[in-house]
Amino acid sequence: MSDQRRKELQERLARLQDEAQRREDYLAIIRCQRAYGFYIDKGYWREASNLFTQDATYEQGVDGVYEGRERIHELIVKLSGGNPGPGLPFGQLNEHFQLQPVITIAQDGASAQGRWHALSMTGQYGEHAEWGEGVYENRYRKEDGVWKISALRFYPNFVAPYEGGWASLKPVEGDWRSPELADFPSDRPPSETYKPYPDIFTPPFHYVHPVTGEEVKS
Amino acid sequence: MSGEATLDVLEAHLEAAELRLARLASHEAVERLQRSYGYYVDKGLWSAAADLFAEDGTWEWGQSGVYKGRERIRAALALRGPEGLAQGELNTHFTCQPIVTVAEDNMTAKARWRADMQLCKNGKGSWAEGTFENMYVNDDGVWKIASLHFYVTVECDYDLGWVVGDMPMEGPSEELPPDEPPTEVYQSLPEVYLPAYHYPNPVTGAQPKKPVLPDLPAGDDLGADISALSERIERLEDTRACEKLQRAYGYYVDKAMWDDVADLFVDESTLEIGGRGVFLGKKRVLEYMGIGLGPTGPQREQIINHQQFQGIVSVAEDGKTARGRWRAFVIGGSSWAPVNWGDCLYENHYRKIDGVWVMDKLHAPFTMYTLYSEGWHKTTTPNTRPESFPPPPDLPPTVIYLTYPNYYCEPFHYPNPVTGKDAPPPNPAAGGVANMADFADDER
Repeated sequence: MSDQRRKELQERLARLQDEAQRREDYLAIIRCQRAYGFYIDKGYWREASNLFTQDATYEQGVDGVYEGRERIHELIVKLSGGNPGPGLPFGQLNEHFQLQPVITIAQDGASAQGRWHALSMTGQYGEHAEWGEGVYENRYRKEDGVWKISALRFYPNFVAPYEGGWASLKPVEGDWRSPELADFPSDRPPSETYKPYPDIFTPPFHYVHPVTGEEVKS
Repeated sequence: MSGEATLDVLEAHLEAAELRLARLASHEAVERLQRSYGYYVDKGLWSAAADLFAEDGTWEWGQSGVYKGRERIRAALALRGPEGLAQGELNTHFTCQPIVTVAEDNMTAKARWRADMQLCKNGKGSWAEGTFENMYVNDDGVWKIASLHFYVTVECDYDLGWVVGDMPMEGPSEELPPDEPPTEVYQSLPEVYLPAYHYPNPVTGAQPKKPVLPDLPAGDDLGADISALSERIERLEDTRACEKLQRAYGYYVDKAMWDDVADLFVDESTLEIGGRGVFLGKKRVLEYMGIGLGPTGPQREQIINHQQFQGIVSVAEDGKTARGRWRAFVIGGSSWAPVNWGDCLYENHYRKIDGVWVMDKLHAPFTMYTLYSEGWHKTTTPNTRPESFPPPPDLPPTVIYLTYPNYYCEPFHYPNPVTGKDAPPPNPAAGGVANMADFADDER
């Protein structure tokens, strides 16, 4: 009887160890994405791109899909003004707040998805300043016990000039790909196209409604 | 001890571990619930937002009055407009800075949150900010919002900014009158109001109860494994406690609750903000706040929001110390002082004393401060200095640097989460690091 009970306690312990692992994974995934933001803020492009898996993808707006860590590194540098860093040139502000995570870890604990809210303050002293807002729907993968970004999908909603703000924005017409990437074509076309604010677009939710369990249509 | 008695002890420990882990999972569920509410209202998904509430849930926004029950909440949310937003509307709610308190029995929870809002209605842009004090219920394993109460701190015209361009809150709807009048009558900026904290001061207040358990049997393999699990759980709880400490600091600073701010520190603590030098111990922290920043308690026509975002907390393996990198998004100004935006970084140290996490070293280098009326492309504060601030520091600044438009990067306390290697210092060739020798005469 005692042996049987000990065995049951051992099984219960194993279940709880799995539970603890999920709680640790949740915090580790959040840490990874927040670290990404702090690196981007300060021009630490290599530290940021090192958070991706070797075969990761990066897709922003309608710029198309870029594949592989090295391509992602080059992309981040181009999108951030071209300075190799680490660091930023005089007068560049590049703050990218990583907020409001909703993290969903797969049943097997080997992959995850996360929705994040981005608030950005960017600009160049003496020239321009902008507020930005958008949503990330990212994927993460655990490799050798370490969580990495396996797919970054950023849906910018707007980048608005400080003067006049978002109320001054006009609907985008035609192609609104990032001009910085004109000479750096993507590996694949955009996985979906949309128009940002003042048009209305809801980035698709990776997770079902927390109460009804149903898909929330975007 | 007999075999069965040993197993009784092991079982009691597993029981306690199970509840602790369940409460940590509930903490995540509450975060998911409230953050989803933010994402849904962002896009006018009123129905999905209403479905987050318990059947008999309540909703109260500013001076809207109270709507009771999921269907009434659905209707109240839809007062903002039809399902989905119309072209040109903006309803962004950054839902941040949670302090989640899960009840000991894991059946209910409370949380304080804040939302920064970027709004546009009828072609007029505005900023708004406020505080949630919400309740949640564990309905047979599914967490739901039991009550949502949002207190508006400010809404202001985008072009004018807060203090100058404050907009009053709307009263109860005539089209769809609430079920009950507002539970608390107050006004937003230029008036001020302090929404009650659902939690006591994290350092001086009552501490969460810990179960009293008999000692684990020595030399028992299962007992050793359970002990290792308990340590892991404690590190998770430590991380959450440090997050709470930092977020509580922000909520107290927002409302100039200087005694509560100082109570997060101990006599051995230090505080260093901007370029003002180092203040030693809890008493000097109180002086820094009270003499340097004004009287205690929220003041009319003033806003000093220090919003604590994006925390990376690293608890040492022994669970005795921790570090945290955070950012503060500062909304500041008053009718007698400049109205500004601030962007500030923290690299803080925390310490656990008799089971309670306290602020050991608060170190807050500024990234950028600008006037609301100008913007960071036109005007910034290069940095504050000891002589720019009434109470003198005990020690000079630990680091001399210039803020934006110059570049300064406070070293990261953690190695890269993937490579495990420390980030190198910034490359001066990037061109943003000011040569402080150029300013040497100026500084002395």
